[in-house]
Amino acid sequence: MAVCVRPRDFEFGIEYTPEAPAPHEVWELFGKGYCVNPCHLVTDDALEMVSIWRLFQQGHLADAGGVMDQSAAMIDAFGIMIGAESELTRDLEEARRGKEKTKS
Amino acid sequence: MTLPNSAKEQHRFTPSDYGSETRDTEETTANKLRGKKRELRLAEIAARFENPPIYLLATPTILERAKWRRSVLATGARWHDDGAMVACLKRGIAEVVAPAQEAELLDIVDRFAGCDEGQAPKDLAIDFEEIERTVQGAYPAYAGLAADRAYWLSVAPILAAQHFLRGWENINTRFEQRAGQLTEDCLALIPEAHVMEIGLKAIELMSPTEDMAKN
Repeated sequence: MAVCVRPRDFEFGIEYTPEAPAPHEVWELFGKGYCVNPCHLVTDDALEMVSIWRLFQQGHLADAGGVMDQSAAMIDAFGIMIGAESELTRDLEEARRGKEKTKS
Repeated sequence: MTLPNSAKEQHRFTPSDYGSETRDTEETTANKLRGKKRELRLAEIAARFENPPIYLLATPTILERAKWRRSVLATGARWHDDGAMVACLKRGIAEVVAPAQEAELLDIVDRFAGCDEGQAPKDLAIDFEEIERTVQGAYPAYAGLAADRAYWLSVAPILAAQHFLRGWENINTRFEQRAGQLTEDCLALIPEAHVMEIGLKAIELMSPTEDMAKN
């Protein structure tokens, strides 16, 4: 989720893989610290899920019919993703505001 | 498990008593026999595992899940989540345990509740079970919640199997549905353990797992 919403946060430290993690935690996401660049932890399934979610946000559904005819697990997952995205956006906004305050 | 993206996806499910682990265990036991008995037993095992029963499960849609929840509620079954259980257990500790012990027991409960499912150290899990048993015996409110959960666990999977089973393979019985659900007569022909496993699998397909949600 974070890798898709804030890709620039994961452009550095690309060398920290699951096989060769950083000696200390470099990234923090949803209260959890990571020694491995989270972009190495994203699975194909997760990426597919994000694509489907983006389509859902544009009004496209995976199956014929209405929302009630969609996979319940998928719709629940969208709910979780919406929550995660707003948390990430909020963090970003707060960081931006903090920077502006320091400048002024 | 991959999250089912489309309601069209059907899931093939083989019960655990036909899994590779069970086969390995049975074969290990058979290998301890001698001569013809051993050969015969190994042949029996091979035949049994050659064509295991396969159950075809639907991906629950929002509407179908709501219908299943309705039918579960109609039986009077209620599920209390872990948060509610822990909160009630703590109230029980405050009510039935000597004040001198209270802080220690609450600490055990908090540490156990903070662990991921099945990840608690063995000693901690044993201590937690002991506290649960004590409170359950002396605090009716907690005993009531625990009983509700036990009842839900014995009812909800059966109804899930009835709602979401769409077919089977390698079972010599006709698959019959009425109003979109497996008939009771048909359900009765499946081993009870399979019905429970099928139901639990269907319930698993209804929502993202904790790990998926974290991801």
